[in-house]
Amino acid sequence: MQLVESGRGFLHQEISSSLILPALSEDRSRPLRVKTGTVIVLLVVSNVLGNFSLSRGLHEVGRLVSFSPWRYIQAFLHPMVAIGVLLLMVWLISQLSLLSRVDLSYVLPVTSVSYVLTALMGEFLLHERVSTLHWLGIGVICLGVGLVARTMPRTAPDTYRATKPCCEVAQ
Amino acid sequence: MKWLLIAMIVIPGTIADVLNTMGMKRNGEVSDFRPRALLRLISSLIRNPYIVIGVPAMAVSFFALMALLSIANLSFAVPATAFSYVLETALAKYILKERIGWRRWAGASLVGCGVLLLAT
Repeated sequence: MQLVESGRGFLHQEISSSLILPALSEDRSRPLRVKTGTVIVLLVVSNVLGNFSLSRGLHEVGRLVSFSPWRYIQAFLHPMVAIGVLLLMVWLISQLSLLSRVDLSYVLPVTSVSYVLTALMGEFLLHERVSTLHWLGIGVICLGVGLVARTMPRTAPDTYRATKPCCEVAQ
Repeated sequence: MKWLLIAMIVIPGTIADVLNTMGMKRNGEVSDFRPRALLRLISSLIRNPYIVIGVPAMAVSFFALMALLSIANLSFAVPATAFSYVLETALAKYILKERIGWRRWAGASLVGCGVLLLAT
């Protein structure tokens, strides 16, 4: 019963706000699947959109080969650049929190879905043609992600955790 | 210059991932994403020696990638990052003591190959 309720709460919260997720810390029944999946989605989306708006913005600002700090400040004032930097901060936080609970060798392949999303965005939003080789690449990445996703997310020993009490779970 | 940038992408990037994983495993599981909890998380991370080295190393790798992309093609830049999937899986096994079965090895290799294909 508790599991069903928290599951529904998770979905509802995800729709209502993508950034402010509820703490489901007491849900011990499915601790990894639900929450980790949400963080992965957040990570991939912020990574793809962040890179996209940053490169778009920097392109409009022009080449940044300058030693004058004023040029960099100007670049940060460009809205696309600012949005990109913000999204990459979201990406950093979600990357770190993902690493706090699952293996690095799980995180890296699974989050490479962002390459697929970038390619698909080029095809459908920017109307760039995706070549046959690129479709093959997308398929191969998805196959690899599928394989890794079917492993246990966490196998690393808890050696580091004993040194410091867990400061995030209790609230 | 190009090869220097490749080294500046791969080496700091790899070090960053390993250190960040160590630092975050030491920090404990992050499960609260409310703003106040995130601020508390950040304040504990800036006192975490692994993260203090890891995140700047990540930034070096990121800006080196940006710089490389501004002077070279994607097809020159990406193979190195594709190779790092297998390299970091090996480091995860030997340094982070993660248990890596055939699915993880095959998955990391497939992802690397797929990234190579996307760069063609």
